[in-house]
Amino acid sequence: MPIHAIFEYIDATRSSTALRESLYVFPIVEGLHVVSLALSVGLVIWFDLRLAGWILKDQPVSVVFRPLRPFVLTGFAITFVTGSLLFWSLAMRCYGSPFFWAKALMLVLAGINIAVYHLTIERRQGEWNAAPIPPRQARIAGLVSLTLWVGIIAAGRMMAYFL
Amino acid sequence: MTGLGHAIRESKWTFALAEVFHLFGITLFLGTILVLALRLFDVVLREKGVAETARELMPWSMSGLFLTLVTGALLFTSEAVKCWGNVAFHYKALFLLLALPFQFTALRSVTRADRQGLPPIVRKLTALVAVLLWFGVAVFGRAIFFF
Repeated sequence: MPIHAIFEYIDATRSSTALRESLYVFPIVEGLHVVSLALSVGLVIWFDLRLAGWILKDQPVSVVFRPLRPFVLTGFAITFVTGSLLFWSLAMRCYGSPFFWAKALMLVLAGINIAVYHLTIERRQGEWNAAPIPPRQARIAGLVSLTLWVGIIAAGRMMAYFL
Repeated sequence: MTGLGHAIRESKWTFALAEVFHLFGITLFLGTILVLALRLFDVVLREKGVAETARELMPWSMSGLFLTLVTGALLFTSEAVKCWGNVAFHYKALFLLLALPFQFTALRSVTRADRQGLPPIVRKLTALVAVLLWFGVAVFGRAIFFF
């Protein structure tokens, strides 16, 4: 597998070294990565909890989600870009961190969960949009998302601590 | 492995776990503060009253805040000396000392049921100040590491 070689290549680029050794850019990127969590995961929790049928049961699912969406998407854009930059600057250390691989796996699973939700149960959202407790498949999608984000935050923090 | 080595290793894990739960608390708390602020700005949940929304968010925001404060206190006691000489920590403490009373006086009173008649500008300003104060705490908290 050439994965090791790819990581080594990234780690040796000038941009990676520059970012890793920068006095101000690295802390700012890392700070933004952590603070944007509130905007991305902190807000997506509310949608997940509504899907699970735990909160705001008197409000239709679309009413909870639609106005939050631009903020959630902005939050995830910032988290993703800053996270990619952090990875770029520390590629080889990421390679050796089990927490990095756990986080990467859970991110992929979160992506699959979102895709499955959009392609299946969300197609019939008209039928259950106003239901206080959404159908089982939607509840599962919400709980899986919540669990994965908890795991992703934990793995990310542990990874930073042990790098 | 020696007993000392074990103790250090274990405390390293304890510290890391405290950091993880600190971050869980922050994400939950800041997320609920953002939802409440967006409600006060009439961006989300417009059909639901402010007081009713605040009441439903309360257990989540207070759990998040409690978790953050408890783990934060733990982290602080293990690094008190380092924090004392840390500029970022001083700013964090200042923002925290402003944010906590603001949360439980201004923000709480604006979201009370008997304050529905408040002019929108007062509600929006209160929400904005609360968000800025709490994000200030978070930003300077992250900065402690780099000083």
